[in-house]
Amino acid sequence: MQAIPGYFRLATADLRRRPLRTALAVLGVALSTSLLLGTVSLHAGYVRALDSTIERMGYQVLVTAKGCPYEAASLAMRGGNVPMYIDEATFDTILQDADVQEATKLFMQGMEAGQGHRLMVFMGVDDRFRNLKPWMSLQRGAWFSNPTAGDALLGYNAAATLGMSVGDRLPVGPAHRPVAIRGVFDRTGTQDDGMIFLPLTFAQELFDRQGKLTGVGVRLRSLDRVPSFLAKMFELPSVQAITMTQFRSTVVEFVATSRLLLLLSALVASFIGALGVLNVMTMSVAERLREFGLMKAVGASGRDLFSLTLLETGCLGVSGALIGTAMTAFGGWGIESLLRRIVPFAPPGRLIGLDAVAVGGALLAGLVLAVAAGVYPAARAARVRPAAILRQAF
Amino acid sequence: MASETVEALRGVDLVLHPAEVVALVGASGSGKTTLLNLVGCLDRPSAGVIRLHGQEIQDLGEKELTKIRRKQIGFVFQDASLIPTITALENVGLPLSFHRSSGPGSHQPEQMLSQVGLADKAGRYPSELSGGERQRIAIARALVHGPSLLLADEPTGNLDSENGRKIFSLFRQLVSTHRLCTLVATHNEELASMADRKIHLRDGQVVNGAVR
Repeated sequence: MQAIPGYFRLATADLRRRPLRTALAVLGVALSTSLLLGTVSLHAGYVRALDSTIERMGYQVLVTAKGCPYEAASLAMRGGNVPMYIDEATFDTILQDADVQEATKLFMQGMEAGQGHRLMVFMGVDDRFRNLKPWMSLQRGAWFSNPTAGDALLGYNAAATLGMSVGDRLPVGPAHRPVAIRGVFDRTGTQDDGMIFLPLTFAQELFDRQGKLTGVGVRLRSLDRVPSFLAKMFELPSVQAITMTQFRSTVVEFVATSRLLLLLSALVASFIGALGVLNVMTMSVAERLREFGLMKAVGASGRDLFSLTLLETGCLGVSGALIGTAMTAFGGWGIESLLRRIVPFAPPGRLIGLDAVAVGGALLAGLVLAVAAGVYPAARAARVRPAAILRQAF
Repeated sequence: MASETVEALRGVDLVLHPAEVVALVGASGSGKTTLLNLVGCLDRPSAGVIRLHGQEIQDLGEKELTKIRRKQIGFVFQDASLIPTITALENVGLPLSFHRSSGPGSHQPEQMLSQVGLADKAGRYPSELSGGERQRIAIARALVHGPSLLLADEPTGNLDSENGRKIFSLFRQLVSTHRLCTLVATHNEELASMADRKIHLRDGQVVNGAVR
């Protein structure tokens, strides 16, 4: 047993005296640190996830019907109902262009499927799709038997969601036509994991959109051909083209704005957290004025009491910051789900990327926050006049 | 609102000697605690001189007064005034927490706890001790840093008469062992009669008793 209590022991002993009050103060710091860390770490994580998703799209340019190009790109990436179509004949024009290395027809529809009537995304594709996404391998089963067959291939997550595997039959489309599950893809870590793939011609017929496409994915021979290709697409009637780079910069800019709003919220939360610490420490010091008076009587200086009280707030700050960091590391989904509601496109996977600098910064911020809030109570403790205080009973 | 000046002490002339217990007797408000605070460097007099080992202390700054309290003075209060969140042993060692280095006359907290007969209660918290035990801890705490002056303000005031006598006996014994100048404020005449000298205070003035 330690006979001479050190400052740390004295500081933590008092924090243990009122566990609920201490826990609430720590929670305040933890929440503000978590929000701050999550917001700061959001950008890097988001951009990384976005880049990975764009890279795994397999094409650099998306050609769609005229409308909002960013909405079309967003829908193509995350899946959903695309209400406008281009003629399938446009595909041949695009494919014959000298700038184009490879292209694929895309036909996307969203509709309920399975026993749980979950909203699923159906993607009609042909063999060229595999040329653009060679990494999509089948975990089980085989590719479509022919373009018109009533077959389906399930993305990795779609198979899990529907609880289906090769050989099962899934009712699809407005008429609930049963299709045979012919294969299940390996996990890709992209939106493709949640999709149900159908042969293109069969999908067009199923949704009564024969000869129509929702888009064409284009891979160019090189990136320096982008301007000339876009110029040619501009000349075509009823179609528009957007590069994934354009889409990326627009989304990143939007996320940066959203991040600024979140950062302001985090700063407000930090201010509230600091007020919590200030309140707790002011109450704590007011309750212990006689103890501080006693400490002065037995030899403590004002500086000793200032340091002791500041150490106490420092303990609150560091504990809160550590818990807040853990909350962000293991529960950042809360901030992520908030962001997914705000931004037009959020890639799959973790959007918050923690790194050592961000974590170190958050710990420092929590400590500075708590210590700043502790200055006034610490000064009050240091100013205690023992002669006046010790006249009162404990 | 006009402020009124109250003279808490007037014309007090007092000399304390090593290994001597001086009892300060008087009714509530007679100035006993004020005198203890002045001698104990917790307050400053508006006039007069206080010498500690020949050094005048009435004009010293807070820093110097803190150093004197830290090294030379031990306090015992009426209600023991222990820190409730640390153990009995840690309460005894508390004054040493504020020492920049251990002084030549300081003692081990364990040793002081043994001297007050509570070695077996080292790990107990104040709430787990009786009133008499708490006061013994307070006495051990007042002596742990090896002071030359011990000041006690109604040290038996919260105890029954039997416990009060026991504590005072212990007090006397330790004062003799450690050869301390001791000033004890009390309104208990029976305990005061156990002191080497007795000084009566009334309305801030010495009315009876040998001051030298």
